[in-house]
Amino acid sequence: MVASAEDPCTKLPDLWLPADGTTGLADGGVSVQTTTGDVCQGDEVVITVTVDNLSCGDAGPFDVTVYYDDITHVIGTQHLDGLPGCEYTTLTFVWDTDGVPVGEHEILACADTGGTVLELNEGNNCLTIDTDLLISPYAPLIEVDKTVTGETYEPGTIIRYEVTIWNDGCGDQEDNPGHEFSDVLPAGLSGTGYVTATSGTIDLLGDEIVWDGEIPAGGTVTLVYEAEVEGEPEDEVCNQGFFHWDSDGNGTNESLEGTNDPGTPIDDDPTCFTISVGPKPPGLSGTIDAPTLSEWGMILLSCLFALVFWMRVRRRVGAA
Amino acid sequence: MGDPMSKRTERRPNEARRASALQWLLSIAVAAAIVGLLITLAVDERAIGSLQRGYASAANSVLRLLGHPTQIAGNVVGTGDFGITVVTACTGLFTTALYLVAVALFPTTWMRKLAGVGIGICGIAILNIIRLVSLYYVGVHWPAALDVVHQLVWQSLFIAFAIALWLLWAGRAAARRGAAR
Repeated sequence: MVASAEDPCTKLPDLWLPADGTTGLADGGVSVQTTTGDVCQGDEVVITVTVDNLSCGDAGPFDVTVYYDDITHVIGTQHLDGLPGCEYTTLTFVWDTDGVPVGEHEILACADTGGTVLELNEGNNCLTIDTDLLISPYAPLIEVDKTVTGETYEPGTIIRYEVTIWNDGCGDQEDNPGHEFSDVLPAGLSGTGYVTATSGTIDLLGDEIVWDGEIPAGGTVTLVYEAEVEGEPEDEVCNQGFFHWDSDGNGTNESLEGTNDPGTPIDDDPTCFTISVGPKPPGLSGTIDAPTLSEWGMILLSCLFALVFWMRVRRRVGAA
Repeated sequence: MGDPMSKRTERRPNEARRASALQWLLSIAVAAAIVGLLITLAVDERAIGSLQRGYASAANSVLRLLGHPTQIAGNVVGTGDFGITVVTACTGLFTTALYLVAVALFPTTWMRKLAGVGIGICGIAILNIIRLVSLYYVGVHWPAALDVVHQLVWQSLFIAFAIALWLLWAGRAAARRGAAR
């Protein structure tokens, strides 16, 4: 028996949020699960959510809610009177980020948050649609990476530190009183005096690298400085620079951000390297012969024996 | 007829000269025998092989006592990275031969010559083991200095040692003979 289009569907509905870009929705529709992206704190984020009814059974009234970070932080809820079987709908939420903590946030959307619709599958009603939406303050927000490079890390060689400073905030970092960046070279290193910066003023004061300058919102500055390795082989040399910045935009650098080594999974960790042993002279391989005497050695020994023998015997004869 | 006493006194120097000449001839024969024996030893593969392995084994024992994980493979002593092959020229055979010839030819009693032979063989062998051990150390730790230490330092030491040892023995042998008179 073949079912006709007019046959009533007796199945339960199945609401879900198909991943962004999913095709094959009703009438050739495509799922849209997006946000307008990073904003400054207080600006609006537009969030678009697509809810689809996977089953032929109609869904009654239900709510769709969007959250940030977890279900305790509601961005907004919209009520739908229902969603017919095999149909989908696209909703738009506008999120005012005023008062939302700065930093990265995860955006989560869920259908039927009130649990009013009996569904075939209750486990597919939620979807994370953005994992790193950044809300920046109307003040500087500083991140600092520091890497070390060198052809070798042997004593006597020159290594190079590169520090990249990002201002991810929505306010400029001004050149406030005091050094914005400082990095004390640890024992085992000695500054060569080679220091450069893409903006601002960098200097070597004793064993300390210091930088003064401003970084506009969204801007970066790169500092490069070199040092000579003076420690003992196999010593680990670690150090961390610090950026003093104005997190509240009041003209005082009250916040501190340590440099981060991007080569490790740990955040804001010191940058390290191990002093290596200098190249060994090429070791002897294989075996050698080591004669006691060369041909000339044998000749010399023979002559010396003849001489001392003659002298000794002559002395005896003389004595007799 | 002449005086029988004067005949006796005339014969004594002749007998002494004959005895001295006989001793010289005997000494030369012994020296030649020593040289022949050592040449035979040097060309006999089994005999010289045993001597080479003996030196390798002795050097290996000393190196292991000093904490080096050396091993011997035939006449080679060392590790997988570096080793010394004890060939015939490394045994000090030539030096020993010259020393023994000088001992054999020196005019002294046979007992003292025998003592000189023992002192010389043992002394040169011990010095040679010290030499092999030190060359291994230098080869492992200061390979750049190996040529200098081997060619210059140890050859000089070996020559000086052999001459000094013989002079020491000859001086004592002569002094005792003088004292005995």
